[in-house]
Amino acid sequence: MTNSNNNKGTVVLIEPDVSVRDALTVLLEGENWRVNSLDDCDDLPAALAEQEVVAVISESSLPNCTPQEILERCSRYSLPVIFTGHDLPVQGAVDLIRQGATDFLDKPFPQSRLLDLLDGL
Amino acid sequence: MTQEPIVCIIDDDEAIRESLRLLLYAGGLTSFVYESADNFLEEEEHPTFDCMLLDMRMPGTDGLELFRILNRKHLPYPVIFITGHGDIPLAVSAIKLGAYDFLTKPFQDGELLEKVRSAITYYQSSREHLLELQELQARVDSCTPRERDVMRLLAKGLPNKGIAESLGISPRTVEIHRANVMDKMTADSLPALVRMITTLESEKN
Repeated sequence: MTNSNNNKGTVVLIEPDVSVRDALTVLLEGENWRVNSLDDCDDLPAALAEQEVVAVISESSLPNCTPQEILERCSRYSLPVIFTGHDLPVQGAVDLIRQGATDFLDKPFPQSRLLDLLDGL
Repeated sequence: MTQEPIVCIIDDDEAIRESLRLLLYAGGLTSFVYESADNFLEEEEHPTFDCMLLDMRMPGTDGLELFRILNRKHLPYPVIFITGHGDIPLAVSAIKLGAYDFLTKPFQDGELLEKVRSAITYYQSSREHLLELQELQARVDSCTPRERDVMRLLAKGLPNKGIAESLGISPRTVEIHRANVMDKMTADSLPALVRMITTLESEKN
C-alpha cells in the first residue's frame, strides 16, 4: 500500500509554518493522498486549477488573504475546505462553518480527526 | 397573532440556570427551566418553546444528543447551545447539525438577550410562514381537479380563451371554474391568486 496506484487524489495544503506543513504532508502522503503544499495563498488559484484536487486544508489565519477569500475561490470548484487554526474564538470557528467550511480543526488536533474527515468527504 | 414567547433553559448548573432565567426575566421573557435533558424528556407535555438554551455538557443525555432527539421528533425549536471556552469541536458540530446559535460561558447579558430575541423572531416568522403555507395548500386541496387545471393555467398568465382551448372546454365553463377558484382560494384579484400559487410552488422546489 505505498504508491501512486492507490492514490486517493490531491489535497491542497496551505500552511505557513514549515514544520506543521511538513508533518501534515508526511502524514497525508502516508495515507496515499497526494499533497500540493503551499506556504500562503498566492499560488492557490493555480493549485485549484489542477486535476484531481479533492479538498483544501488551510490555516485560517494567513497574512495575505482571509478565510472568506479561500472559501470563495474553492466554491467555484465546489471543493470542500477544512480550516485549521490556533486560539480562534469559538465564534470565529462557527462563522467559518456558516460561511461554508466543511470543518474547523483546532490546533493541535489528533491526526486521526483530519484523516477521518478526508476519508468521509 | 403571536403568543408571548416562552424560552426553555436546560442546564445542570443551578447557578447558571437561575442567572439565565433572571436575565431573561429582566428582558421581559418567560422561561421554563430543567436541570437536565433527561429531566426534560421525562415530562410528557411541554409548552411550545420559541427558543431553547441548551447546555452542551450535562450528565446523562447531553445537549447535542437532546438536539438530535428533538430533530427526530420534528420539534425544530431554535436551539442556542451554551458551551465552555475551548469547546470548538462541539460548537462546530452543533452548527453543522443545524443549531441556531451558541453562547460561550461566561456570557455577556446583552449578547444573551440579543441572541435569544433573534431566535424567537426567526422561529415565530418561520412558524407563521409554515401555517400560511398549510392554509394555502388546504385551499388548493378544496378545489376540484378541473378547477386546479384552470388555476394552473391562470397562474401561467393564459386568458380565458386560451385556457378553454388548452383544456378543450368552452370559455363560459372556464369563467365558471375561474369564479369558483377565486372564491375557494379567497383571492380578490388575479395577481393575488398568482402570488399564492408562486408561494406554494417556490416552497416545493
